[in-house]
Amino acid sequence: MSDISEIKGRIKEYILNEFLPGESAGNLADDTPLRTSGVLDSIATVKLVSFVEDTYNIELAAHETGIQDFDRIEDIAALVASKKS
Amino acid sequence: MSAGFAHARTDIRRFFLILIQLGLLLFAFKAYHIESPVFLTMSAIAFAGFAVHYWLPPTIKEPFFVALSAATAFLVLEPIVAGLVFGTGIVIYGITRLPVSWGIRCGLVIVVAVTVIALRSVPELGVPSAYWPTLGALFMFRLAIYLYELKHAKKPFRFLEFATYFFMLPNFYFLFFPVVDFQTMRKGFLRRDMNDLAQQGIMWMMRGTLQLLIYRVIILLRGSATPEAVTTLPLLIKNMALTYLLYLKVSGTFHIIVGLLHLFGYDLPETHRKWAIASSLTDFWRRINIYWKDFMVKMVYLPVYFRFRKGGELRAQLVGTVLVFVLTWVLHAWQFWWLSGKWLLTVPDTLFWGILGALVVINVFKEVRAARRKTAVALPVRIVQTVGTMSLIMFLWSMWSSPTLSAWFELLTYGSLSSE
Repeated sequence: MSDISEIKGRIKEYILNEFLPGESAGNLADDTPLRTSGVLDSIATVKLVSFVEDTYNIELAAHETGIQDFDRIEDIAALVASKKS
Repeated sequence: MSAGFAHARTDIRRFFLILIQLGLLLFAFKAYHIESPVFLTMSAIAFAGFAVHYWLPPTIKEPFFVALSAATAFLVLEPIVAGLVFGTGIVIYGITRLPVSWGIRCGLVIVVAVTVIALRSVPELGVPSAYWPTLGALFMFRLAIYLYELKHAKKPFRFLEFATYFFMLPNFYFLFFPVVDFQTMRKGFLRRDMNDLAQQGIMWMMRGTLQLLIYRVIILLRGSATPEAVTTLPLLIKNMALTYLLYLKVSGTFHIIVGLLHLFGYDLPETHRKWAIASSLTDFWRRINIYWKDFMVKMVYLPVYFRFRKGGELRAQLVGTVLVFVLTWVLHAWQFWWLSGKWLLTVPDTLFWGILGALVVINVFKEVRAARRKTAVALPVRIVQTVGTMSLIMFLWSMWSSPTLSAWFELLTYGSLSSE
């Protein structure tokens, strides 16, 4: 499994467990909008920020957590991958 | 082939299907006198523009959108107003491209803003009065987002990116406009199939039109429940409910605006999400005027959170939330000044934002402290929560809508205060 696929998988698992209990994994695609569709509110967003920072030992800045980079699993995974490399 | 090119595939069958629906929408606008004749003109231009835009190569679509928006501006506004607004915009763009630090460019933009604000109080200049609200509608919030993005951008933005963001076609008619996010708009351009985007836009415009029609019914019903006519508790409840539902005017127009932008390939999120069925005040804040909430999260909440989080998660989130509500109150006054020329600093307005902010802060405190996973809520509980939330919102909303605090007390006491 490639690095980015692994990141996507872990983020997806975290979101499903933490914010979408009971939801089928099939209903959460890599390109599902999370914040603009209301899945993640501001408190959930900062929880997710803490999760990816702790899991991947990276540090994010405020402007990196805007909707442009932090609204879809695929975008978040790409951001994490770029910070790791 | 880029994603944009792949998503711009034409389909003659779907094109005509979309065109027929747009024709029906235009007919509904005319038949039901939606908004004003100027709105009908703007919609006709936009829909005809869509018919051309659809067949253009992806690289030409955005320049065409800017040209169409400019033509609309000169048709729906006085030409002198349109010229002044575009001139000011070009000056601002020129400043943002100067080869100096971001701080200096930002300072120069502020100098221009302060000068424009000061000039409003000099009527001898002969500047048409429509200039200020139009300029404000385009720049009063989006310029802050643009400067924020500019600070973090790896390269300067092209004029086309600036023009598509600030000179959006519907903004020349709708001065009260959702705070569209720059990156969301840029990233959303042709992100999905343009036929699907246009179809969703039509659905949202229909939803907006329906809300504007219901708004008209609300106005009629409210005629029998004006503050002066409130003499019993049922009439008071009716007045409060109808006053709250007047907000359909805002949500309806915002749906039309964003739906219209979908026609031109911009995959923007919805502006309101079933705001009348919020189950808590925090939920209400997240459903109503979502663009404003996202604007505040981006510009205030997250920067404050990142600055203070080393001192504790809870403190950072509470400080961020408090500042969001303080700035929402101040910026509503700022918006009111641009659109009307007066400052909106009334006691009911201050109290409304103060109470709403305090209650949301308490909710945030509880949510962060609880730190537990979301669980599904049983339907009866959800109904009770929704009814309770809506009752509280309607109560606060009636205060917010009253010109003074004493007028609101008059309403609550069925006018007995003045009759004593």
